[in-house]
Amino acid sequence: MDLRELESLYDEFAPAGYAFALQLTRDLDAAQDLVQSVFLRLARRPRFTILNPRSFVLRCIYRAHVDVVRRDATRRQMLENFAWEAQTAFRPEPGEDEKIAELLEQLAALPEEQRVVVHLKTWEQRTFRQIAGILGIPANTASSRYRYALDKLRDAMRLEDET
Amino acid sequence: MNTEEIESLLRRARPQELPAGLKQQILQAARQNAEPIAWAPRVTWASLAVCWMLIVLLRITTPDVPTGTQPFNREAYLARAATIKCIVATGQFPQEIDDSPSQHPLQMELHFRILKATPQTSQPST
Repeated sequence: MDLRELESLYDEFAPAGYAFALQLTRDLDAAQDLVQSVFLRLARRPRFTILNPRSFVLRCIYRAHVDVVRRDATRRQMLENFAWEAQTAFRPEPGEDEKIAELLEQLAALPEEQRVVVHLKTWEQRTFRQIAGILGIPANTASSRYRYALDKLRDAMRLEDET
Repeated sequence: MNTEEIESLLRRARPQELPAGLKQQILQAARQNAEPIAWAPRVTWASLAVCWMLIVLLRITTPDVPTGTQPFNREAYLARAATIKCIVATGQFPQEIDDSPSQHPLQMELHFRILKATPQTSQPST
């Protein structure tokens, strides 16, 4: 792939890839590293003939993240230990409801497997089948993880309202 | 707050912006990685050209070795060798040999080479 192709690919899919990487890692530097490694790997491909490039980029980012976490146990531990200061992949619009900020913080505190499904379903508008393809899990598992995540978020927000 | 409200609240959030220098960083790294690849076709063509030249050189320098289409016949070979020896020694073609070795120029060549290598026992009569 030549540099012009890579540039247009970056312009089109890097924002989504970065948000997804941030959702996975909750760390700005780690997310940046993931995006960089994935796009450099894509640059080495001779041609980019993929039916759904957006899903492909997201899948590449997920796999790269899984590789890093498997390889680097220290990093995984660090990401878990510092979850309380996790970076959220999204932020509320200026002047928006505080509830959104609270909700995003609650989402960042969810386990990775649930957080990721919520991200792909809510912001990427992927179907459960597509999510299953990206994460390499059955569609039913993706659906149930989404349901558990939303239940947890609803409970957390209810508690927040009561206090 | 129900599930639909949560989903709609989440959708109102904006993604974090990409770091400003990331694109340039990636493009620069891709450019650096691509440089050795740009060499590859040139290297391939050069090696192909060298191989072709070697083949041509070998083809030129290697002599044409007769490749027998028939199995080696020791008696016929000795008979022909004797004929050539006779020609060299006497300058005449022997009467009893009916097939002329001149019909087989490659074999003739081979016989002469053998004769050159073997010491002569008799000198041709003048």
